[in-house]
Amino acid sequence: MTAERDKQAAVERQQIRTFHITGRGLDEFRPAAPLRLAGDEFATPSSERAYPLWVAKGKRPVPLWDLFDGLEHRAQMVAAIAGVLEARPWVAGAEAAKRLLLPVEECSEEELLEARARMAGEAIVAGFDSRALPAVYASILSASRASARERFAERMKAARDGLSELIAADDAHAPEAAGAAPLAAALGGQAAVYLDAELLARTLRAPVEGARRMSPERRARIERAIATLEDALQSTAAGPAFRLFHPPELPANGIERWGGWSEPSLEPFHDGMMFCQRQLEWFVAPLRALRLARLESVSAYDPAIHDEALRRLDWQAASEEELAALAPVVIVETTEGLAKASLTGFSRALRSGMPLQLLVTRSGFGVGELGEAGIEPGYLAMVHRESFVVQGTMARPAELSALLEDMAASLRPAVAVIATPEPDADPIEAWEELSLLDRAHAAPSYRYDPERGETWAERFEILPGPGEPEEEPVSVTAAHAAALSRRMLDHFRVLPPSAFDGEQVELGGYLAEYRDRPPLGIPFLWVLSPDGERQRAICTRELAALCRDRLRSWKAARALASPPAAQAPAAAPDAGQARAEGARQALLRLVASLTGQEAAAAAAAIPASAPAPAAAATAPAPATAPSAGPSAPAPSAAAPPPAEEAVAPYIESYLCTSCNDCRKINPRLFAYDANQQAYIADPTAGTFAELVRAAEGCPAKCIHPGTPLPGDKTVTPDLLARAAKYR
Amino acid sequence: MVGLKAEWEIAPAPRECTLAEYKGAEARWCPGCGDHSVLSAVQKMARDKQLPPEKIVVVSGIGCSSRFPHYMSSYGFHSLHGRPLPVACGVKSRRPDLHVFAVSGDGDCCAIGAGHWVHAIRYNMDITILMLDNSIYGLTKGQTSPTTRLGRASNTHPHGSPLPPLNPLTVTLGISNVSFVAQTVDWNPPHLSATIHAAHDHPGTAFVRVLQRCPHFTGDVYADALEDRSHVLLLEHPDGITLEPAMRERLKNRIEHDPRDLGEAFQLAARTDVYPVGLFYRNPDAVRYDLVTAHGLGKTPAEKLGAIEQAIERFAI
Ligand SMILES: Cc1ncc(C[n+]2csc(CCOP(=O)(O)OP(=O)(O)O)c2C)c(N)n1
Ligand code: SF4
Ligand code: SF4
Ligand SMILES: [Mg+2]
Repeated sequence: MTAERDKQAAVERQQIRTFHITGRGLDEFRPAAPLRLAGDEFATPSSERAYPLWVAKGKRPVPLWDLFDGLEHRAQMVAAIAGVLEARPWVAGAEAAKRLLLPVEECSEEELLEARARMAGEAIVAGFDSRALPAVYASILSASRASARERFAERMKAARDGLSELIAADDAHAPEAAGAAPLAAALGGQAAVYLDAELLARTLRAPVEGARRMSPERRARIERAIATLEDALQSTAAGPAFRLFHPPELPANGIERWGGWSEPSLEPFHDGMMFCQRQLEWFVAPLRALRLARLESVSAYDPAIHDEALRRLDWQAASEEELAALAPVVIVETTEGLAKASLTGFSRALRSGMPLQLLVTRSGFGVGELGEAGIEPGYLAMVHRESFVVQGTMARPAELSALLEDMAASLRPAVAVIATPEPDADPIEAWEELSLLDRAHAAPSYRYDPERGETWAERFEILPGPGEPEEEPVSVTAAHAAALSRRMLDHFRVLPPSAFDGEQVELGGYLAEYRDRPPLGIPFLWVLSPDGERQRAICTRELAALCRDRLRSWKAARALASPPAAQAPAAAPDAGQARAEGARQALLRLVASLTGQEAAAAAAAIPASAPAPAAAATAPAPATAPSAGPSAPAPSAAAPPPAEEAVAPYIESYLCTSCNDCRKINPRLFAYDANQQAYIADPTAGTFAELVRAAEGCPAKCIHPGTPLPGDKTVTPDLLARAAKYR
Repeated sequence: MVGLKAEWEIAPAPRECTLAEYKGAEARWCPGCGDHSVLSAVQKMARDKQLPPEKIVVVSGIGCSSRFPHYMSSYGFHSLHGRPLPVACGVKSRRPDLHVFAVSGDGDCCAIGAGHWVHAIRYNMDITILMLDNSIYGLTKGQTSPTTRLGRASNTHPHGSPLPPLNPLTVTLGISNVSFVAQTVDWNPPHLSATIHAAHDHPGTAFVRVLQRCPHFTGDVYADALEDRSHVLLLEHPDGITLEPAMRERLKNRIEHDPRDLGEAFQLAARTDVYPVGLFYRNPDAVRYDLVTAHGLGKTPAEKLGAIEQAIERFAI
């Protein structure tokens, strides 16, 4: 009997190993439904507090739960509206509000009306569904760009009007403008009865004919710019606030309410990129016209310079303000769709710097086929360094809205990779699966924003998810989320206690050992049977490898986000010594300037080794001067003041009233400065008599004649006495 | 990507107006006439504030001083005797974007233009009035003006003016809704400049009386103040017109006066023993009529006609 059992066990062990390696066999143990994980830590908070989302125009999306804050029966109300959403990704807010009118049991009339009031305004209610994502982003995007669009339109209008005024002024200078007919028309029908337009025209003709007209080239240039601006104004007014290219499976109908156009496409990535390119090319024309208008408005347009410069202008010369006014091109794609479309194109788009907005959904595990490393569009985008990248999950709606707001504001190529439920998954199951995936850090939320700095640590920020960053062995893995997913059930076999075996290890411990090659052993998760018995769900090696891949990716991401360990400061040179040398140099300069000797000579007098503070305090410069010899006396000592000092004539210019009187006497002696106030330009250019005469005539009494120059023949004792008054 | 291409090669060079850009025709006032000084101060103020010359309008009446617009390189209106203020108010009411200056003389403003003077002060539109007071009719070769001193002989009163002079400061201070009254002298350029700056800064009608020498007819009128600076009384206040310390030191005769104090302003303005200079009164909160008249300026003729028709409709029966 025992031998039989051993044999039986050996067969089972062999089958378990085969299943683990190949995923085949043990079909009787294949779970029929998503598994129930054993352990309190796997109880997920219910989704009703997060979804449905209330997405109102110009506001950040909030859970309906929060919108109904304070209402007694909010749980029932949220459930009633969630019921509307069962078959649809989202409904219009008004429609959802109508549903509330059907009395939810136990609700008072006032409570219902209050809830309805809170749901007023242009809005939608979005469910936990990947197909709601385009509409949610549309609302965020339209709020973010509306004012930039308005400002730009205002600028274009102002430029157009300014240019039109130039043309109107030119028209007014035309001889025909002063003709009898245009004058009569300008006066209005009744005025012609009282005024003789013919006579008026004759009176006006003379000055008008003398007016200068615009050159035909300038006029043509301005008229072209007006037409361009007019055209751009019309097409922006008629055009959408943004365009959303999307695959048929991610519909974007309803975004018109946010001013956007939906562009369904089998190749959204390709079509969106081509459109963006064409749009940027088109944008150059109004950009040129605006610059031309600015130059023309101050008559600074020089064809020799500006024709060529404007021709060279392309969209990359646009300012942030201008680029923000351009209707954004949003491309919605699934990760698989993107991989299929072409990663080369993806890369080209990111390198181009075009302000493309890519919204990539990633459902379930989003890592491609098991067994090959899945593509990570977020990391791929980050490798292009200058793109804006975020990754988030619908499991954290508040944070997702914040990330999408950042993306909506970015004018760089922007990529958002959003973990979403499978298109047709059961919402409750999908919610649990996605929450657990999030807790396993299988697809961490992060933001990579090149505007934030230069290093990875500055640009890249991981947004901490629920739960602490775990130490190994980890207790929540991607496999735990997989256990809740119907699509992944093939990767599990549930063993009853009778099949437990020492070869089986818990997945966390297994992963802790799994460095390069899979350890020997069969990884399992603890699950509960329908009657609450603890069972082991063993999994395939593929799934275990996926868990390891996710874990490694998480570790790598965390390393990128943390600043490099602070470097030990380089060994500083002896600070005291440096200070002493600095003091010595300063002392040398001081001595040299005081004694008039060369710095080198002074250097000889001050020992380099002298402790600097002491030298400064006790060795004043003169003490060292004698050593340089008497050949260099201080200049001030050489010039004794003369007994009768000669005083040059001067004017207190700030008092001058610009009356021009002095300049009339002698314009070479007196001149005006930049403020049009007089000063003595050349004292040798005139006589003392002229100086005295100007001083006497000066209404501001600000001219001072000084003492006469030697040899001035006009000097008399009388003149000197008159001059003395102005000393 | 944004900011990749520089744009400065097509940016117009920033405009810098030099003093020369505000100068018009060669001034033909007599040598030593105080009007030169005022002209130069206005031009320098415009240069310092970089007011675009094409955004300045100088309106004047008739008189020596009223030749002012010809000497500015800006828009100008040499209007009728006594009428610069209604013209200036008209300009401001339709073109609130322009800097409007009204230059008038003592005859122009206080005699024939007195009616307009009263109402312009009350309208308190954002304009700057420079009243150049040489206490004589200069252009017409020396007739008694309202500000001519008692007993002073002129063509019209060879035996001397029989009446005490009108005080333009107390008159202006007495007009309802007055908002800015200052006095300065042409022969002190720093004070003149500071006053014109402050007047232009003021949001409302700034009335500045400039004591102006007319060497040709009234050369002796302000001679006392020119000879002895203590005849000038400097009104001082942190909210008033401030002078550089060096200039302030030269005027030894100073008094503290708060420009919000209308009662004290009256007392100071009425003084005849000294020439008080500085800011007498300022009320930046006075009602401005130009804000009312500028209403609906952006409307097209069709919109205006529509509004008129609508108004008329109301009387239809
Ligand atoms: C309606 C009218 N009346 C009279 C004159 C004559 N007139 C010309 S200038 C002037 C007085 C100017 O005096 P003022 O305003 O003090 O200017 P000033 O020349 O002194 O600067 C007079 C009466 C006129 N030009 N128009
Ligand atoms: S005379 Fe006096 S006030 Fe006139 S320009 Fe000469 S320095 Fe100036
Ligand atoms: S007359 Fe008098 S006010 Fe007129 S320009 Fe001559 S000095 Fe000046
Ligand atoms: Mg006068």
